[in-house]
Amino acid sequence: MRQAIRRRLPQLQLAPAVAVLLVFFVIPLAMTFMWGFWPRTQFWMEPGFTLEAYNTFFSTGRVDVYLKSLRLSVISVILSLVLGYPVAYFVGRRLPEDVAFGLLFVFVLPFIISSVIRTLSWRFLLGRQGIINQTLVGIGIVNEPLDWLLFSEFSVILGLVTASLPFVIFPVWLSIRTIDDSLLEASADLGARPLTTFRRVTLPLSLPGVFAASIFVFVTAFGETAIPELLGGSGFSTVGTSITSVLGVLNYPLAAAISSISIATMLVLLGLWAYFFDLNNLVSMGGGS
Amino acid sequence: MNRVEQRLARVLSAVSERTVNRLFSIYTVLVVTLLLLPLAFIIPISMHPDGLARIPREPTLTWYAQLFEEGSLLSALGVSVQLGIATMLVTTPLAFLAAAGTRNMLRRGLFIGFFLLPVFMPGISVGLGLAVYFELFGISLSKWTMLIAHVLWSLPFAYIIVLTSMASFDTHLKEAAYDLGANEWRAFVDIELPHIQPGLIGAAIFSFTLSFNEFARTMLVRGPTDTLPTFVLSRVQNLGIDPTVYAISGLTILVSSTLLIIVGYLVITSET
Repeated sequence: MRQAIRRRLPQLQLAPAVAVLLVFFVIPLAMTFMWGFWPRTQFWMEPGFTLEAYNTFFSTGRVDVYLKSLRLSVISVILSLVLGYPVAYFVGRRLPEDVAFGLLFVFVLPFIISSVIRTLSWRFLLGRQGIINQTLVGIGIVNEPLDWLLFSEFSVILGLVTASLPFVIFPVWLSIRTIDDSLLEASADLGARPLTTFRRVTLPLSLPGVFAASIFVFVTAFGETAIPELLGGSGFSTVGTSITSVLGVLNYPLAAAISSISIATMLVLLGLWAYFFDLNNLVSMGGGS
Repeated sequence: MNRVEQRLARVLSAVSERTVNRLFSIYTVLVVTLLLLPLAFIIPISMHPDGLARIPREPTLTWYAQLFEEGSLLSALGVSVQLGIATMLVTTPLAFLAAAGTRNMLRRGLFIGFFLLPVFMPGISVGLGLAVYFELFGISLSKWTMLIAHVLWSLPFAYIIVLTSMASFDTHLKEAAYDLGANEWRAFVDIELPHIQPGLIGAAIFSFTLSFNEFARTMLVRGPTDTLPTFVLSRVQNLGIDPTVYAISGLTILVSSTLLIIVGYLVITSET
């Protein structure tokens, strides 16, 4: 009996999480594809088959909204890595442990404050009457307040990047910190210059963290509704806000259709990712197996 | 000659090393500023007597006093804290088990991909899927449905954090413990747990904060109950930004920082 449990241990450990994901994630999302074809009723929808929702999707401007969301996500990923990686590297490799630890708590702080509140705070910093514009005008760098600071793509990207920066710093820091010091020493002993050591040892070993970080940022940017709504202004729509607005008029099949297209795109990206990168790398690094 | 050259190289590398560190420090300070700047301004602004988004000359706490008369806001805050703690308590063990199981499987990539899936799906799609699913099966929306959404959201993050901390653990150490007569449990508690503890704490903190901040999924499965983010957003949408919103923001910032300092203090003192 004990032997049997021990042999089955990995499966038993996996079971609860797999069950939760199947029942509350895989099945509802799979069903979303079906709901997109159901006919709409006045307040809800009924089982059946119609292409009405998809016709509506492709005949209105929603395709452009979709592509724009993809672009915003990619830009956010790149900017977050540019901002976050050097910091994670610095904290993980070049700072004394206790200083690094204190600094990481500083990075947690904006995190435990609701993103809605953090996003709102950008509004009064960036607005026409906001502190940044007042300062710029006061110093005389610009003659009149800059309009593009708020309710623009700039402000949305700024909101998305700052919201997801801790998502970058933590996984990258974790992966950099777990690199064995002796590997770096060995590289130096073999005559590699610091930059070479970074390029040939540190960077490749931190890639699992970078991948994790990119995933985190991409999804935050893609599925976010509050940030584009608060910083993009009324005309600014992303996939997230277009689903919300469709739900506002109780068009559930159309919401499901837009949602299905989003899910399908993510599945394609996921397939490409799995094809090009070995997910096993995430755990086989450093000792394990 | 050779010795001089070596010394020169050493001095050069020492100088450049310091410069490199200084550049990194400046960069880090800039990034920290970018993250904290908006938060730093909320507190003075929340004390403006006329409720304007300016730095006040005569700060006042009126708006804070008003907060405590708003039952709906306080209950939203209460719901958010409850959900955060519940999510943390459900997600952390679930993530730990899943990570431990994954490590012992042959086809790890498959499981990693599966557990990461919720992260790849737009929040609004997950929320919509759950909301319609619950409606079709006659489950009414409540704190429990929000808890499910929050666990789904936090599980991949907690899982990857625990897995990362396990990745750097040399499993041979555990085998050595078996050879020395330790059973599965003792080997885990004495050898592996100390190593992965930061990962578990990180997973717990992440779960709480992800739940506390979640909006996109929560919005569609919340039913009549408000969490702090949904309350604040619907208020801003209906009434615009009013001074109490600044006050609630200021209050969250103060409470969160205090909590964080306490946690930090506990962690640091327990290590020494």
